[in-house]
Amino acid sequence: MDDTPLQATTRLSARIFRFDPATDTAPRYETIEVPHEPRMRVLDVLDYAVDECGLSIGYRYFCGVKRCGMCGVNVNGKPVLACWEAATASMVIEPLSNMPVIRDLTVDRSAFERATVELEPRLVRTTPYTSFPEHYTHDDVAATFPLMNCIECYVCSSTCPAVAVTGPGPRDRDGHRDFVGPGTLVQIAKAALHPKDELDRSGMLELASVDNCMSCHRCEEVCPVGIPIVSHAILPLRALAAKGPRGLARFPLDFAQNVRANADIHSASLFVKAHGLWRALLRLPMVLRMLVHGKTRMFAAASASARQGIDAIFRAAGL
Amino acid sequence: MSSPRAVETDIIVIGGGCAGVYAALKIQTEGLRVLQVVKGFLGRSGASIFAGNLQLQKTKDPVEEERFMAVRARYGSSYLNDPDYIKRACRFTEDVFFPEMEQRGLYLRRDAQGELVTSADRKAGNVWAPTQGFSGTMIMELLRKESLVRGVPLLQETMVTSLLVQDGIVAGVTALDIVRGEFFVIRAKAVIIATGPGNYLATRSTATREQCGNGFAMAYRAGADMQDLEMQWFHASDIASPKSWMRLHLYPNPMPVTDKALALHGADGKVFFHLGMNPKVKQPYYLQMRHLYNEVKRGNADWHGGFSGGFMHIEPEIMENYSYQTQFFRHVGIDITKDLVACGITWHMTFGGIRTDNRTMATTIEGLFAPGGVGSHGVGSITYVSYDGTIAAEQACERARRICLPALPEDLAQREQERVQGRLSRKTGDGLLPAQVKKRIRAVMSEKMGYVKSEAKMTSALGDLAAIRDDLLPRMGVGSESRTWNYDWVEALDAEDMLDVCDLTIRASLQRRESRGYFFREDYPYIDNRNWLKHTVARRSGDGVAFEFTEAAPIFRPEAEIDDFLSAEY
Repeated sequence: MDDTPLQATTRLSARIFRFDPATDTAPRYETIEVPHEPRMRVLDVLDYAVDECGLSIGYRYFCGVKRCGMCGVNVNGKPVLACWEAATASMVIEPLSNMPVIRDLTVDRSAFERATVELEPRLVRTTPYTSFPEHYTHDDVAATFPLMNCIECYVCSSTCPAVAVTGPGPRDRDGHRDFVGPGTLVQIAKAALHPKDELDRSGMLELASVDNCMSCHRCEEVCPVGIPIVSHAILPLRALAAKGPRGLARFPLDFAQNVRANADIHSASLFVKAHGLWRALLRLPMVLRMLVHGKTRMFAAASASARQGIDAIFRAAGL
Repeated sequence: MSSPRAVETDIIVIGGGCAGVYAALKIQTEGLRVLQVVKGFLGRSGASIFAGNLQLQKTKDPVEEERFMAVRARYGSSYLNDPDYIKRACRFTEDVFFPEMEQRGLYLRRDAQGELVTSADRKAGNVWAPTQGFSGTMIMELLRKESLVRGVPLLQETMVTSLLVQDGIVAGVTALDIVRGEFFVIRAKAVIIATGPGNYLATRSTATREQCGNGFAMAYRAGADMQDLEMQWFHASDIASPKSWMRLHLYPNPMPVTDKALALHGADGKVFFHLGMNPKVKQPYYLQMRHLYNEVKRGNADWHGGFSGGFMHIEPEIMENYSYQTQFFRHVGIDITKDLVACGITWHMTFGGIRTDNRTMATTIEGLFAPGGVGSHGVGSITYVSYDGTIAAEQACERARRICLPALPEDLAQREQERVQGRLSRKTGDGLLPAQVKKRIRAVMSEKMGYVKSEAKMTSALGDLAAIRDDLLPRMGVGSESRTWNYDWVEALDAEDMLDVCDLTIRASLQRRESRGYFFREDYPYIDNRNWLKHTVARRSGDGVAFEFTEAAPIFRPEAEIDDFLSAEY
C-alpha cells in the first residue's frame, strides 16, 4: 500500500520514466531504491536518483517550496508537485499528461502559457489610477484571495478531461479555440475578478470556451495549493461570459438541451454527449469517481413539475 | 561543430527577476531593441520569488527618513553600503514601484477598514502581498504577465555562458539554449546583468537551483572588478527537514499585526533567542547567528540541526491568516501550537558582487551594467532592485543611442563555443556526473566556509577546491550526449563557475582581517572600524587575483573604533 506508514529504515522504490526524443524510439523506465528519510518528498527522491545513483534524469524545478510551480509530475498516476508530495513505498514517477515531453520528466508547458498570454491575464483599468494606496478592504478581494495562491503549475490543466479531448490548441479560422483548461482560467479570473478590473471580457471568455468545463472537479482534487477552481474561477468567469454575445463556444447548446431535458445539469449524459460514447467508456473510472463523490447521478431525478417549469423558462426565452 | 546562431539587438538583459524585468520593460518603453535571456523561467525562478517582507518606507518625512537611513546603514550593511543609494532607492520604491505594482493588481494585505496590515508598532514599514513569505512570488507573477503580454523578446531556459568583452568594452554574450542545445552568439551595444544576490554554493542555500554563481563568474572572467564577496548573509532559521525544503524560511521578524516573533530553542528545549530579548534592536538576523554560535559552542545546538524554531507563543489565527509557511508545517504534521520546527543554517545572499557605481549601475567594464543583487551596492530588497533595473536601463539606452554595434570578438566567441561543446562529453568509468561534483563543492563550502571562519579552515577549503578542480573536473562527464534539455550539460558549466566563485569568495574572506555583520572570523573576533570601513576589491590578474581596498561611504559612522564582535550592540 502506498500510504503504509514509513519507518526510517524503509527502502523506497521509485520507477522513473525516461525518454529522450532525440535518441530514444520509445520511453523506458529505470527503477531505483532509496533509503527513506523523515518527511521525504518526491523531489528528494529525484535528487537522490541523480546525486547518489548517478542517473542523469531530466526533471525541472527551481525553488523546492511551492513557488516556482515547475516540478509537476505524475506519481502513481496522480499529478502532483514533486516538492509537495510525500515519497511513498512504491512510486512510479512519470511526466505530466496533456503536455508534450521534452525529455524524461520535463514537459513543454508553452501551449497553456500561450493561451494565458493571449487572453489578457492583466488587470485592465479604464478609470485612471489615483494614488497609492488605493482604498479597498480585505472583504473586497475576499473572492479572489484563494486565487492569489496559484503558482501557474498547470497541474490542474494536465489532468483536465476537457483539455484531453480538445486541448488548448491554436485558434481556428473563426477565432474559436478549444478549452484552455482550468490553469489558464485561474489566471484570467485573478484579473477579471479583481475589484478594479474594468475590461469587458465576455467575448474573450467565449473564445476560451469557458463553457467546456464539465464541473468534474478533478482540477480541485489535484490543486497543490487547494484553490476551489470551479467555484472561485470558472463559474464566476462563466457568469461574465454570459453577459456577452452567445453561441461562440462549442458546447453551450448541448448544455442548454441537457438542462431542458433533465430540469437539472445531468453531468453523466452531458459527459457522454460531449465525448461520444466510446471515449466516455474509456473514461469510466472518472465517471465512477464522480458517482462516488456525488458529483453526478446515474439518472436524472427532477420532478415533473420542475421539468415543466424549466421548459416554460426556455420557451419564454424563445428557445 | 555547427556554426552558432547569430543574433543582434541593442541591449541584452541577463536574468528574469525583478531587476531584469524592470530593465527590459523600461528599454522596450524607450523604443529600443531588447533581448532578455533567462536561465530559468521569467519571474518563476531566481531570488525575487522569495521576497518575503516588503519595505514601505515613508520618505516624505525628513526626520523619519534620516532615522531609517541610519538604521539601514548599521543593520543592513554594517556601514559598508552607501546611505545615499538607499535613500534614492527608497524614494523610487514609494513614488514608482508600489503605485505601479498596485496598478497592476498587487494586493498588499489590508484589514477590514482598508488599512495596510503591518507589524504592531507600524515602525518597521513591512507590508505583505498578500501574506508573509509570498510577496515576491506575487510580484513576479504580475511582472511576468506584463512582460509576456507586452511581448518583450525573451529566451527562457537559456544560459548565458560568457560575456564577450574586448579591450574593456562589452560586445555581447554567448548563450546555450537548454531546450534545444543550440549555441547563441548575441551581439549588443550594452549588456545588463541581473542574475541576483544569492548563489547555491553550499549544501544548504536559499538560492534557487539554477543560481550557481554564473553571473559573478562570467563578470570576473571578463575582467570586471568584484567587491565585498566575503560579506555573506546567513539564515539561522530555515527548516531542516525535508532536505528539499531548505529554502522554507522561518521569519525572525515580528509576525504581521503583532510584535511577537519566532523563538529559537536549543537542544535542551529552552528558548535561547527571540527578537523581544533586546527591545532596542529591530534587526534579528545578525543576533540570531551570534546567539546560535554561543549555543553551538556550549553543545546545545549544531549548525546543521539540533535547534528549533517555535511559534507557540503566537496566536494560531495570526499564523494561519498571515503566514504562507504555515501550510507547510501542517502538511508534514507539525502542529505549531505545540511542536517545534527543527532548523539548520543556510547560505543566503551575498551583499557584495560585481562592483557598481550606485548612481548608474555601471561596472568597470564599459557597456556592462549590474543592477540588483548581483551588483555590489545593494542590500537585497525586491523593491530597491526595481530602481536599479530602471536606472541601468536608462544608462544602457543612452549608450545604445550613442554608439554603433561594437565589433564581434570572433576568436572569443569561437573559444567559448569550444569550451561549452567540450563540456558535452560523456563520463567514463569512475567519472562523476556534474551534479555530483557540484554536491562536493557545496560540501566543502558548508564545512569550511560556514558562519565561523578562520585562516586555517579557509586555507584548507582552498586546497579541497583545488583537489576537486584537478582530480574530479577532468573525470566529470554528462550521462548522455543529447542536446535536448540536457541538464547535465548545464551543471557541467555550473561546476566550473562554482569553483571560480567559491575560490574567489574564500580569497576575499582571507583578506578581511576583522569581523563585521555576518562576517565572523574566529581568529579576528572584533569589529575594526579604524582599519576596515573598507571594501575589498578583487580583480583578475594573470592567472591569479589581485586585491585592493577602497573607503566605504562615510555618511554614518559607528561610534566605537574597535568593538568586540560577539558582544557589540547591533
